[in-house]
Amino acid sequence: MIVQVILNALVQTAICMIMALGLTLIFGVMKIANLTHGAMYALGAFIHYSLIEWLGLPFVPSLFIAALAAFGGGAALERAFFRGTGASPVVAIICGMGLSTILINVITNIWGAWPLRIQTPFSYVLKIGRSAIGLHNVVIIIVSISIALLLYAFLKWTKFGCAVRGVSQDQEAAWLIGVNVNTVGLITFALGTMLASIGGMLTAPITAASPTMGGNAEIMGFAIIILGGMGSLGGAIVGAFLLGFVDTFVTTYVSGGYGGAVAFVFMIIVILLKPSGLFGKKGRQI
Amino acid sequence: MAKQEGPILEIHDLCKNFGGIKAVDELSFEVKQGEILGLLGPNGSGKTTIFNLITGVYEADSGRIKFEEHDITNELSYKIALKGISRTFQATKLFHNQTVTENIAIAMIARTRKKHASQETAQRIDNVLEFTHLGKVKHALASDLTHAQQRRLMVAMALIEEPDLLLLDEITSGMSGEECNEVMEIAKKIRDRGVTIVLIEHNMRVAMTLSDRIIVLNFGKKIADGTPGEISKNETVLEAFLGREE
Amino acid sequence: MVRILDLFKKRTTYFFIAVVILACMLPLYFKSGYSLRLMVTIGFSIITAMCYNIVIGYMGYPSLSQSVFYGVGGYTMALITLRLGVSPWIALIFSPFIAFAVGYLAAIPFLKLRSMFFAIGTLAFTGVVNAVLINAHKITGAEAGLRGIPRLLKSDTAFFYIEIVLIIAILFGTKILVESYWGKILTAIREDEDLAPHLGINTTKYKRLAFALSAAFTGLAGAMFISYQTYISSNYFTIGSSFSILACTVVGGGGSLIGPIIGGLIVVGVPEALRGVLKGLYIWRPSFMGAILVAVILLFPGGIYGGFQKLAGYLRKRGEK
Repeated sequence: MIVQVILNALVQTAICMIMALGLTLIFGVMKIANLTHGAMYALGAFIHYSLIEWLGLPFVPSLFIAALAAFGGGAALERAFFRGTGASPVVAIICGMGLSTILINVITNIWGAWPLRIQTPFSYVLKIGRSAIGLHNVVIIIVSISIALLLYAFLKWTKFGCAVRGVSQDQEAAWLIGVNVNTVGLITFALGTMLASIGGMLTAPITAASPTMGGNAEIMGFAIIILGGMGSLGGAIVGAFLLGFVDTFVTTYVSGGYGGAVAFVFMIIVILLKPSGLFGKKGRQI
Repeated sequence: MAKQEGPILEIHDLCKNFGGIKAVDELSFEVKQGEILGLLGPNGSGKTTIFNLITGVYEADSGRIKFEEHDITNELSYKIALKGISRTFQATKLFHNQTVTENIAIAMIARTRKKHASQETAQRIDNVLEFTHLGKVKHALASDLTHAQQRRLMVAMALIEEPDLLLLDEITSGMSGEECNEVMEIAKKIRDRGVTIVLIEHNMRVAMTLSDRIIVLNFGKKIADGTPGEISKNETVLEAFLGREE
Repeated sequence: MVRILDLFKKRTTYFFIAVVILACMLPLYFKSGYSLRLMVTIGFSIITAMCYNIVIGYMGYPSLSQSVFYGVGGYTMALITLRLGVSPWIALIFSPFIAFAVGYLAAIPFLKLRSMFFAIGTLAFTGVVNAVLINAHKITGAEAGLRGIPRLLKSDTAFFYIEIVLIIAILFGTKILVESYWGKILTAIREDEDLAPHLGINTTKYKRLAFALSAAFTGLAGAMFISYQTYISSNYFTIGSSFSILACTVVGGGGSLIGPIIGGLIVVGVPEALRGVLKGLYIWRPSFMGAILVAVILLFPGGIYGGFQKLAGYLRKRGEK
């Protein structure tokens, strides 16, 4: 039984991690707490659904196309609304809340408020001893690990990745050495949004797609980045494990309803005791 | 405010570390009633840290701070201000979106709420603005003032609280020679009214001219204590500032 | 008091009296059940926005926990009347005190945070409270809620008039507060909280009191609201509800006396008023609220009232040339 719970926790961790990595990227680089993350998580799932149901495209290619669409959407959001709000975090938060409301309303009006079922091609169920895990969940775990590794490689070994790291440490200095901070911000925001959408697309076959599906995921994402230290990718990964496991255990052994509250409680505890998180320092870079 | 004999401020073996760096290292000194004490030292020698310790911004790791017979070590900032210590800051700290008069009115609030009638309040504000040469700009927004005017506004806000001890942190930074002279005149008038002043200064001319006594710090420790004349000839001080000739 | 006589010299006083009289006459013209309900709903939005204005507009703390205190008041009304069988007026009297206490206790840990962390912390607080409300369904009825809460007053019109009285009371209360030394202290906290203690201001005490006071009146409004609805559900007290109150205050203009009133009228009133006119567009109501909020926060930080003041100032300057 415990093996089953651990397997469930791993899946939960994987989903949280994808959300948290995107949020950390955006926060670390642009100092913006992106409250549209959850809405884009949902939008990704719905665009994916539409590509499959309305255009008849298969699951995986649709995923890539929808991810690209989300990338574009994120870029548009950054350019139109979030540019320059890094200096006033409260403005960014309020702006994010407003945009999120609009996006969720749009989703509700286009696709309806009722949850939509999405079929996954990965329906095989793997048995491990007395526990079982769907192939789809395994895919989620593999994708999240891949994203983490790709992100690490990107930041460490590519030229643009270095620019990103530079901007996250000191925007002014980055300008001075010739980095186009605006472009970095744009790409980063788009990338983070794309990751959110991927999270939504992968989760939708499990939980069904509804306009407000992103709310919980976003809260968990924030809880993780606060826990792990805002702006620290390593912290986001550790935080994802912590939250994923505690949340799953609470949901399994204590009570189903309180699962969502775990994230909030984590946030409050960390914010009150050590706002910079487990791994963060003030002004910590990625 | 009763004037007693004895030093107005006493620092005993004060220590403050920041993650392994000793910003203030077993520092002891006293400030005499009515004097202007200069606090000098190279960058990073701990001067602003001392001000922050005195005014309750930082908690001391060890040591005692005594003000007029009260132990104010680790006391809350607002209580220290109410006891009679006012300060200005290295970076210009003002209410930028408020007018000059409003800034002073806010600074007065804690002390005057019950004491003065509103007419007297207006008079006192005008007096302090005249004193700091800000009478002409009393309705301007703080953000519209020149740099020197803003620095003087900080002094005005500190003065309206009727302090016994005034801490000035690099008040002349960014000022021209003329502006420095203006500030020095104001400082002398403040001292003539019986307010004790401790000055952190990088401008040597100002420090030497104004100070009755100077304490020099280096790496958080006191390396010299004497009159401006004595300090300017002190070997250790010169070495700290200029380095040793090899 | 000489000051009251001075008021009669100002044009704004007459304007204000005219507006109040007009407002009082509204129920005479808009008699339909729907119109009255709308006016009462807008009234509640305005009242909560005015309370919230103290914390975000004057003190500069972007709280997201207003719906918690609204809920404290609401559940006080629901539980006291339903479980103890007591008159709703007694519950109404208790509600601000309980909300004050909860507000003060919450203030102690959360006001140690600033700006973004404060916003996120209070958002998380609202989430936890909402989760507790949903799970403690034996006490709170969770989402399905509790019914049969007695009404303070039978008619919607009566509620409307009480709201007008309350709005005027809070308006004057806020004005007196802001023009007293409290106003200066709140300004100091909003503009430079690190400087304020060095001027002798006990920021901790005043922050907590202001926050708790705002919570108290929000709770009062919540109690009234629940009595009006005769039904309570945890759905009334979510993060989204906090967001609506924020939208009303910020859009109207935080830090001004009539900003929240304008905000409430526009954010809640306009979509509803146009409901009959643009039938199909009603489903875009949340987008309207979000869009207006985004436009205001990015373009007119002072809200609609702030924009209006700037315009007036600009026209005045042009007139002087």
